Amino acid sequence: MIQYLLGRLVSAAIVVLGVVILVFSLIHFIPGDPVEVMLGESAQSADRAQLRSQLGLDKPVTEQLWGYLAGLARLNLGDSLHAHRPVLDVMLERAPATVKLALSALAVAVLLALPLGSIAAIRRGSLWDQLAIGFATLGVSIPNFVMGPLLILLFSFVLGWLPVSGADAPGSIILPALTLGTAMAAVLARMLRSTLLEVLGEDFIRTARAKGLNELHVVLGHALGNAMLPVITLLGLQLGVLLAGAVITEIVFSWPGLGSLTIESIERRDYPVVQGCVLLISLTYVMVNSLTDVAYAWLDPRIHYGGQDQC
Amino acid sequence: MLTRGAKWLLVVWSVLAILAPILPMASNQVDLPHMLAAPTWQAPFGYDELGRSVLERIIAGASTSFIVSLSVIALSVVLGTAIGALSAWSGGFVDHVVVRIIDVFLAFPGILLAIALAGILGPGISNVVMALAMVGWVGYARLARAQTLSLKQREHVRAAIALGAGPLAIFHRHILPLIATPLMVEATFGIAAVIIGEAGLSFLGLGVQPPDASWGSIIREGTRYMLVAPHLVIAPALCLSLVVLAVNLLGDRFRDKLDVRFAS
Repeated sequence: MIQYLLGRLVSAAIVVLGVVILVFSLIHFIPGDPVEVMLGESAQSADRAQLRSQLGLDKPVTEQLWGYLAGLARLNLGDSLHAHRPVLDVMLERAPATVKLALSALAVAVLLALPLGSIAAIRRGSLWDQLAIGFATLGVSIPNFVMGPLLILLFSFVLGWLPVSGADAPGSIILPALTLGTAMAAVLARMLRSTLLEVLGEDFIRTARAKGLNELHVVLGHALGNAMLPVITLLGLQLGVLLAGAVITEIVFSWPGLGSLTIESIERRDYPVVQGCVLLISLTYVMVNSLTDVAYAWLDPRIHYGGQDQC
Repeated sequence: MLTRGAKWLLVVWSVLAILAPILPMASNQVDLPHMLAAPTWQAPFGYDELGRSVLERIIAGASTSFIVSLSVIALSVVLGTAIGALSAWSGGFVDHVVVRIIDVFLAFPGILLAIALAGILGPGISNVVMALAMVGWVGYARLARAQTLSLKQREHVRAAIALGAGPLAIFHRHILPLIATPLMVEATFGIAAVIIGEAGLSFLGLGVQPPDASWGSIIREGTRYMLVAPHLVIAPALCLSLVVLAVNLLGDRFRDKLDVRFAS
């Protein structure tokens, strides 16, 4: 187990380093002179020189990368060109809203997917099953920026039940969480249905039924727990979709999180903040995925701990 | 029945997309008297905030999503397959490095990297293609690598090596035909992802720029007038979702028919 954990840690560290290097190099993808792009053509040459040295662009690339890594080690991501404050401070102000949205969406997804996937598997071929499959197919085909406006149209304009956007009014989180959660619920319900169907065909389920247990007990007590492992892994992977989807969903609902900060910063050409946001979101994703892997290995004794964690 | 509907929908989408430039349309023509007008016989989907026919805008948008999805898929499949197969064939250090690079790209959630790239490269259709292809090649590389790795040990490949065939010839004649099917299935689902990706970037204002139309930017502009003219959002939303749904449905059928198991 220790060996497995160490191996996992090393490969996570390599991925993190790669992510940092890629995010660092983003600024070099700017067509033309980054400083000119950020300040505009009319900027004074003194201002340009100052920004150039502030961003370290006057040094060789290797030195720039080294400076970026050294800054990261001290949690220094540079300064925002717009807010004139450390990038980290700007991001920390916005992060709680995104965390709140992501957790609410996760709750929506699990609350929708568990009953839907279970009923579909237990009553295979029934109307419920058909409905669940239909929901799953629709869920993966309707993007957030379509789902969001349609929900606003129905619940805010036609019915007048919920606020259109922002985060101040009570209940304002419901629509963004639904938008983000239903897409994830669709994928989860589909996965739960297929694993549950597999588990329900196993011998120990037949034994449980033969003992005379009622169906509810069989499903809740014996089957569901065993069907959860792949679902948990998927949950970890889906978090990535959730985090990226949050960027678009936050824009749809003017939700003041990291996603809308990313897009605002792109519009303001405040690239240090863009880099910071992309880095923070990706590193969260890497961390959660590594933790999911470890949890999975820990929960399922059938998994080998020895080496080989390559794809 | 459902499959046939999906097929027809995609045929209509492609034909309209290809014919869009020569159709008698004025999708960029501003006509203020018709501003936000409701659907009529001339314009079944109504008019937008500049009095342009929403149907014509949607057809122009179909063209954008068609061009972008085909270019991105072609670029990513070629690039991904080349990198994946080469990596598996070389083995050793090269393969190790490529696997790490793939891992790094997979560490970026969803289209976040494409959003950042498109934001930094600046708007425009070719930058959208570039940003989405930079994110898209990874899946094909992983698949091609896994498939090539197992094919490398097969007897017909070893026989070809023993006969002195060069790597390119072996790849072309003995590997590519066998990995093409799973790659094509993956590419089918890839089309759906790219259509959503392009529309998503345009929705965020990072894609196609006005006055050119994209389904994403039509929805984005429509949300501002949603209360007075809901058709501005409903019509493009419906088109986008139906096309993506149709692609996904056909992808599912395609996969079931060929019984391809992914090595992911």
